[in-house]
Amino acid sequence: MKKQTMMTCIMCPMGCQLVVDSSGKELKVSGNTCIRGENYAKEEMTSPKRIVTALVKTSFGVLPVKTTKPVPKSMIFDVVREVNKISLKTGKMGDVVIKNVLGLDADIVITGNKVDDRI
Amino acid sequence: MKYDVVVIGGGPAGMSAGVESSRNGAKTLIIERNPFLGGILKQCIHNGFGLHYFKEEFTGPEYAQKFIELVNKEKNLDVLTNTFVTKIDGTNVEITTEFGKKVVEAKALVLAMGCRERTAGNILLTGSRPSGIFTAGEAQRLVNIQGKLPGKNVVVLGSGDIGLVMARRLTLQGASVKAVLEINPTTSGLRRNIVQCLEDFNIPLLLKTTIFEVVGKNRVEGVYYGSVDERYNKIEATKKFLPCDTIILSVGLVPETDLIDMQINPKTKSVFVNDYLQSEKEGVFVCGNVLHVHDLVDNVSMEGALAGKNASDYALNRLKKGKQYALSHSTEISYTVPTMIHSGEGTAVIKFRVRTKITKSYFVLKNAKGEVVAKKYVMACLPGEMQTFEVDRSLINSNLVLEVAGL
Amino acid sequence: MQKVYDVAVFGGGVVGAMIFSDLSRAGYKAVLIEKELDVATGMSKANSGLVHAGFDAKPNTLKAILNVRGNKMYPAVCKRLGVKLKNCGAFVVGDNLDAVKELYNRGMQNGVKNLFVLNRKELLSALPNISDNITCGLFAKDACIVDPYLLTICLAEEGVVNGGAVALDYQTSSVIKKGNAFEISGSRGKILARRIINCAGAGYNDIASLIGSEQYQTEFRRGEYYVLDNSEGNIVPSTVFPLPTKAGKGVLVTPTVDGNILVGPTSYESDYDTKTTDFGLQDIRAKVPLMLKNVNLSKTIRVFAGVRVITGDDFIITNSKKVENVCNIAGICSPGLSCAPAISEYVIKKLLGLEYKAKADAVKIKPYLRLKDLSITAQNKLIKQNPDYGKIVCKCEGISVGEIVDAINRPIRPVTMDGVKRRIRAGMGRCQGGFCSDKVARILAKENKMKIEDVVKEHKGGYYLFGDLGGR
Repeated sequence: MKKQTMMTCIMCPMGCQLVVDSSGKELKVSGNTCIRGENYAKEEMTSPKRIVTALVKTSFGVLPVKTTKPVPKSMIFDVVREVNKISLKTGKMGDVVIKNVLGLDADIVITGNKVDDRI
Repeated sequence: MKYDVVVIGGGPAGMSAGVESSRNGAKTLIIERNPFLGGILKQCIHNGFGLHYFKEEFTGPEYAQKFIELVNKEKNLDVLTNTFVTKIDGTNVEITTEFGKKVVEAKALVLAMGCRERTAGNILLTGSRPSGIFTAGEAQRLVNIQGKLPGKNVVVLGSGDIGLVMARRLTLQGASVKAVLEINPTTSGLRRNIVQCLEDFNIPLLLKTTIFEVVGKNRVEGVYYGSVDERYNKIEATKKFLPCDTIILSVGLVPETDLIDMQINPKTKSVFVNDYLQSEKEGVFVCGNVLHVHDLVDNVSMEGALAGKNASDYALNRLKKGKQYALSHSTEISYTVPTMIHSGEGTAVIKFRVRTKITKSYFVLKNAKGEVVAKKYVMACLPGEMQTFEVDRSLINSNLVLEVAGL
Repeated sequence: MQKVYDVAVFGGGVVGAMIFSDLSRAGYKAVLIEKELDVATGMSKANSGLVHAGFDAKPNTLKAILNVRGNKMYPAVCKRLGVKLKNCGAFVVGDNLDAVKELYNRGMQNGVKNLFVLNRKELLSALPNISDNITCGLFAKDACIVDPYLLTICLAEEGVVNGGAVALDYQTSSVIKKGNAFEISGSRGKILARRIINCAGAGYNDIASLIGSEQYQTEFRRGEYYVLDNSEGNIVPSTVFPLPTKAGKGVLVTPTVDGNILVGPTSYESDYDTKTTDFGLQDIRAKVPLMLKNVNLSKTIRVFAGVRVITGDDFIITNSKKVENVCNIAGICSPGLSCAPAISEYVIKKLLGLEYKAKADAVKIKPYLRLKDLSITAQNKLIKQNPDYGKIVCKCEGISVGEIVDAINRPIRPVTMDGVKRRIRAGMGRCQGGFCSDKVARILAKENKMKIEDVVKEHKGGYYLFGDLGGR
């Protein structure tokens, strides 16, 4: 059986329409103009990864956080759930709030100080 | 209060302009209405900023912090936060603060007030007018800064980047994003955001589709939506109901020209500038999203630096310009900034956007005789992406036209 | 023993508020009953804001008599309240001189002063952008513009400071005659009153059915409008109408007292539903160029609709024949706003037979403070006294924290974001609250000692947001 997946390459403005054939042993990418398209398609098919950004609760509002490395796309909600479990008393930009989150080899780090939004 | 250069706006354009002006030896002041520097970057907690400028990927607050640190380092640079500019008079500005109203005198002014979002009224959104209709930026501020949820069942109208980013943010914060509706046949947001904000979360993107009617008296209860034809007429037969409690609008940005009393370029909805980013008013320089809405903050920072450099040169009587010529463009190009360009020393930067997708072509700058002054190869570019073109001013000796040419 | 009011007024629109204020100032104990969370939420908030000169209505009708009288009364009312009234005049333009002359004659019959028939040349000197087909027109010098919701709010406040009571969010469930008083029951307790005035607008028949008084066949007509950015504020110096048709005064273009331009209204039979429609907005778009060339609808900052309540050719203002001590006021469509002071006078003097003149010790309300109307010196003095006046929240309209706080701490405290907007214009500008709504909501919550989650835009249940992340 022939198994094909369509996707748009996001590596450059060309936006090549890629077709990935996963029926054989190896993935076959077509529609790409350059090697970056092939690599992108293969990564998206086998192990897509994303930087996750979220908000961590503190006693003084929310603070923005991110994963220090891309994590598997399938784990995005799990990572956010871990962040939601936390409530901080203190916290500032650069603080690591979760070390090696869910064993994914990425930390959760605070990316900004509390925004002074007094009226 | 007297300064060489006053910068209005402490977002990415203003901070960059202020730093550059100060570095160039001008006594500089940045005026910011918020209690903090950084502007909208502070609420853009997603990543994807800085790849061009810093060659490293940051979130919005991190990108802002880089510049805040640069601002803090400058000895020649003052910052007034919580300060509203209520009037511009030449290069002087009237400010309003909790300490009263007063006038700040400047030799040169840099306008860096950014842009604002188009509203339900601007797009003539029809139906009822209940609670629960937000612009994407307002929703973003509520979520990312106030930590509040604007709604639970969301329809996003328009596929601007903030709308796409908010579709993901709200999904991650527990809301259900029913669909993103885009009236045009193509999206206006970056492709990366389509993939990572919508496709990753199975949020449907409906093209050539818009809201026909908002329903709900107290709070939004749903929308009637459907397809439009080539001329954007609503096709009544396609009308369907989609229940939701929230509508997020991401339908375009407009330069914030409230304080500016100058001729407006209908293409950019902002003022006309020359290649020194100087407006029709002597000593008034313009940069960032108040000049034209940018795609990437990196480009805003670079433009801010150029405005800061030129404004400080002007204030210190060092700005030497050659002869001024007009810059026009062919129909494949939707606008250029600047529209006037000088001969003389250094490099002039032209920013522009194309009207439709262009692949494997040249951007060509021609003089009045039709001779090619400069050209640049383009593999592919989309209307959503700002293009940059540099030209050596020593080559300029007549009016210029920017064109697209095949291989 | 429960307090018995002299008069209970149903309906917090401009007519109800005017009567409520006038009765209170004359020394009567009055109560204003309103089903919504604020006054001025029906027709009084969604109209053209015009005080007509009075040439349009058929002679000897209530509309004609009360309009001409109302127009004369307006300056004193607005001055007393500190509400802006601008005597900008009004033009009617067209290509039919006979029709213009007929309007002129009707105006003369109605007793309108300062009417002038103009030719195209004369029109052009005041309105350089009239369309090419316009050949003649009428100028009514006495026509004015007013902020209809601020006027209504101030009147209701004036009633309160003169001893009246306002029952907001009051859903009336029954009205029963007990002895010489009516016992009104509803969602917020019982109210006793000797007389009832029913001017509940779209809700007139609902209240009449509870009272047992006359109900009238009612038609609703929706009127849609565009509001243009204040950058367009100078496109016309005065209100400009086309020649009237059977459907009404037609699509007009008018400045507002706050510097915007209103374009509208349409006039279509509808339900009582204030939605805007593509059909209506396109209708306006098609009609405006027939009158003026320089109306740029791409400068629209908002579209809205109001619904007129019509009960025939003329207003109904009469004592009930079915139930004693009940006064029926129904079908107050255009020119209701213009007539309001005169309606109140007529009702109090003629129908109720009560004293209309205000007592010598009648109290004035404190006018709404707008910093930008003051000199820089005066502004600085105020900011020094209260730094909140220097903290601008609504950047489009230049409204400070101090002005918003003041607008909340009034005789009738607004509990909705739209209530704040109508009082002090925070959120009325070109960004339509995109930048300031969350701040207004926070100030409102703080001043009213409520949670931001409980702040509503306009109606009950119309929450601004859904609580902390994670959800309500």
